[in-house]
Amino acid sequence: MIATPLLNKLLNRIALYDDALAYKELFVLYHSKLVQFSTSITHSKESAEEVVSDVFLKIWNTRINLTRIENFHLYVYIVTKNASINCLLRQKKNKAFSLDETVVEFRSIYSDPEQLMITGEMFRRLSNAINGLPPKCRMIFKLIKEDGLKHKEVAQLLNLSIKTVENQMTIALRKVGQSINFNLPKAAHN
Amino acid sequence: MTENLYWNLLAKKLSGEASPEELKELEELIKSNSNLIYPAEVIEKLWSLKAKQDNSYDAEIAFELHIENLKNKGVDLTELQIPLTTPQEQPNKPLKRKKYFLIASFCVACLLIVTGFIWKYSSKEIVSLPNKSYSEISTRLGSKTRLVLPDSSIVWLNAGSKLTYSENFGTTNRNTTLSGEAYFDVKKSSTPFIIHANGLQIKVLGTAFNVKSYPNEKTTETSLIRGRVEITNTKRPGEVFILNPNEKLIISNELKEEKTGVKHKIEPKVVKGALTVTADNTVVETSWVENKLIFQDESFEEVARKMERWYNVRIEIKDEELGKLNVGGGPFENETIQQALVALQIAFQFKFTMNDNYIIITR
Repeated sequence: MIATPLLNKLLNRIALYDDALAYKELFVLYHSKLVQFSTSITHSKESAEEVVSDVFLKIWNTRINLTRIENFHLYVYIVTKNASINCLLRQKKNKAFSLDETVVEFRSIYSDPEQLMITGEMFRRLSNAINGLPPKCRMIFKLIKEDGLKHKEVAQLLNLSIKTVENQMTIALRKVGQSINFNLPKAAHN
Repeated sequence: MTENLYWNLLAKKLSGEASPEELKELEELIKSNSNLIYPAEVIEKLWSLKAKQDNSYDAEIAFELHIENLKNKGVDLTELQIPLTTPQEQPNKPLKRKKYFLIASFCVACLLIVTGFIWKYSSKEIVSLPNKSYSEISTRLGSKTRLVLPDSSIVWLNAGSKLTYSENFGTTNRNTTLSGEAYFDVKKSSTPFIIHANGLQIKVLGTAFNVKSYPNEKTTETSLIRGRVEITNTKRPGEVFILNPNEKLIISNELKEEKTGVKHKIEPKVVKGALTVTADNTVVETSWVENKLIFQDESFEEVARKMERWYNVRIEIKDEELGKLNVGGGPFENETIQQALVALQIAFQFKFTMNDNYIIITR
């Protein structure tokens, strides 16, 4: 993921020196991840782009305090989540936000299946397993695998207990593992 | 149930959160359940699959749109400063400087008079003469700033420092006066960029370097990152010090003895040395520009002076021997003064008390 020393250097340059190049670099670093995360909540890429722009507007306006944020990576996801929920609620006024309604896309898994060195048949089973994960489970799985968040950070971000996050990950991995190998004992259990 | 435990541990391992005990436990589980080996391998491979390289072009376009958005929301875009270069790029580059041969062709012979050093500008407030106008930028203790001069050179000013330059700076001359510490990234031009600091003249043509010349310090230090610098002294004609990249020059100041107000005639000592680089390639002399406070092989007294300016506090070391002790520490970035002192205490034995912004250090 994004190396912390690099991230800290960028944050320093923005906070202390109003450095436009660093600000742009930060934007480019986070843009696609945050847009994808926001889209899973707002269900609209257009809205997601607006949300991410607003998030970075906020970052610019409060840049003096950037170096005081303890965990910037988690912070930017939290801000994006809140802005996305607000956007969603604005558009669909009678709906409340629920994790179960998120639509999560994976970027990494489908990009190069050959690298997995498994048969086409196995890859099909694997994709089905991942696609078949319930929304909350998928979201957690994606945040940990693709967005580089830790279990504790995901728990904070989604307002869940760490136990829940760990359990969901266990379920996700077990389902994926079973899909590749029918010979696992107790495979019947779900 | 061991199966669930297995996936649980694997999940922790994949996100880098497994403790050494948990990793061991995981290994044991695989050994006793050989049919877990293959799925584990595939999943670990799955984990290492990176997303397709994001089309950076998309992100660039998105950034342009984002800037438009900022404009529409009334953000003052003039605050977005685009630097020409940044100081942290340089220390990690190899010693060979490509610009060196360009600057070498601008060799200028300077005449110097060599006697004692005096304060060229007194510590009193500068009275502005009616027909002379100049610009002055100063920083308080505990804060730093960065400014762009009329000739597009960039200066980073450390805490408790002041930089002055005349009205026609950039056109007929590039003369500045410095009290304190500043890092310069000078735009190349045929007009020499001259910094007056404590009786010294530091002449450059287009380079990146650091000057440290605080009034209450014993020495003036010039550290060169890139380019070439010539240092002369008005009182010592004929003597030119030339710095190459990654070198620094330390010159002792003439200090006023506090009680009698008499100026000490210190035999002006000049030492040329290499820049100090830490294990992770940070140049200590310019680390302040990146908001890092580092002490390397300095006396406790010097460290106290640095901390006073950095944190805007007053520090008194009650024990003279303690003040002479060689200490090192840091890098400190976001710590409070107390946290920094506690960190130093781990390596060096001392006690401290803090009252408001006044700190006393004892054995």
